[in-house]
Amino acid sequence: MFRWFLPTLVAIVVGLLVLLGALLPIPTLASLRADLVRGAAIIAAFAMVLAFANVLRVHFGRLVSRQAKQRFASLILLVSAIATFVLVLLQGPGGVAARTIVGSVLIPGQSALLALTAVTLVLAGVRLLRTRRRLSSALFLIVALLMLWTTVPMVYPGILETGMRFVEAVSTGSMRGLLLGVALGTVVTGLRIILGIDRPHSGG
Amino acid sequence: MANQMIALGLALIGAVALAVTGIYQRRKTHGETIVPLFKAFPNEVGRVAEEGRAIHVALGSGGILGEQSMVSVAALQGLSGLTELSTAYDTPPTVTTGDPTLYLLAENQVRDGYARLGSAESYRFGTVRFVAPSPIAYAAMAATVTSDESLGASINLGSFDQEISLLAHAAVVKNVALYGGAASPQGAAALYPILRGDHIAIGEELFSGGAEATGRSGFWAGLATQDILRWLVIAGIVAVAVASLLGLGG
Repeated sequence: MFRWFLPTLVAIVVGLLVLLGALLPIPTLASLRADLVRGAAIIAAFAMVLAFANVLRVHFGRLVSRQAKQRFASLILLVSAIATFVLVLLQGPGGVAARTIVGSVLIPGQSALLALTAVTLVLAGVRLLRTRRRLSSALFLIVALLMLWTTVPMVYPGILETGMRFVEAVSTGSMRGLLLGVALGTVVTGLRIILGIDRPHSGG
Repeated sequence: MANQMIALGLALIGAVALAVTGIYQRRKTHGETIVPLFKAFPNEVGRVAEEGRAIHVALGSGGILGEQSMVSVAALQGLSGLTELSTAYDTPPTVTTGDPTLYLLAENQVRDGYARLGSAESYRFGTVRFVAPSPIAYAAMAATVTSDESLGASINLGSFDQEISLLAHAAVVKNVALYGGAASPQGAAALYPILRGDHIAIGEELFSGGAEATGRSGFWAGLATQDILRWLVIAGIVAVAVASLLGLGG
């Protein structure tokens, strides 16, 4: 009973209260919703501790394992993770060490990786003609090239501008359609959990 | 205020529709395929188990507390059949997540797969891994899992943006079977050029995974409810367009 009944009951009650708190103009419900969301944030912080322990354990396992090929990478990861944890624990998230790590290591590293996605996206575009030799693929590439071309600041011929406006209208409409579908899926998945039909928290 | 009332109305209609279609769907048998991607997973598990390799499941950076929570839940539901089958073969997938709350949920699902088979103690630590908390770092770290380990297939399903191209690229370079799905237009656009039509789920297709993987009537009722709500939204859009064309309303 405690395996699924209690978590399901909590999910239903909390889900309903948060939904109604967001949609109904009742101050008590709104404040209850804020408290519940704050509680969820605290639980998420505990989840972060468990996830951090998982990172340490997985990489420590790789470090001591004989078969592991990437021992050096795991060693670097472990040293950086523990050092960052200790420094932030001592100085707090606003401390000099934390700010230096974020500003000098994390942000530049992530920017470099983001730049790398541009390369992988171009390679993906090239592969398109190999995986799908269809009219839609050609259209996809033409639109992508047009979009890239028109991001360069210069004067374009009138026909190209009209074409781009048409493409923009079509792509915006399609994107909204896609997002609307996702929103409906989100609503229904949430409702299934609130109604107890679906229990992702207890594996059902 | 008016927007909140519309949202509440939509939620109420959705709840009623879910209950009604749920009763109707119970009497039906479900064999149809909506998104071929989810039907491909059982064969893939069998093939990979025969080759003695593993499957990498990347669930993305969506958590349970953010906007993308339901996308992550839907991705997990779509993979429930896969996790159960691969635990039955005792070749559990390596699951990576970029959010601590999703990590707990995914670990719970894989553990449950073993528990249902009556061998909860067979769960191996490290099957589900939290790799990094930001989307781009997550994609890079998960790509190393695809590159390093002896994989037969890589499944990237969940909350992704353009960073999914790093993961997909790693799978293509390693020449492993690649499947994927993303709800966001950026993620879908990054996957579209690489994947075949039957290996991809775009946008709301991701939400049909639970129905296809489990065949449970509750999930099929959810899909029917989605259709009802979609028609209501379309009717609303048309009504507003006609009203503004006639100069009615604000």
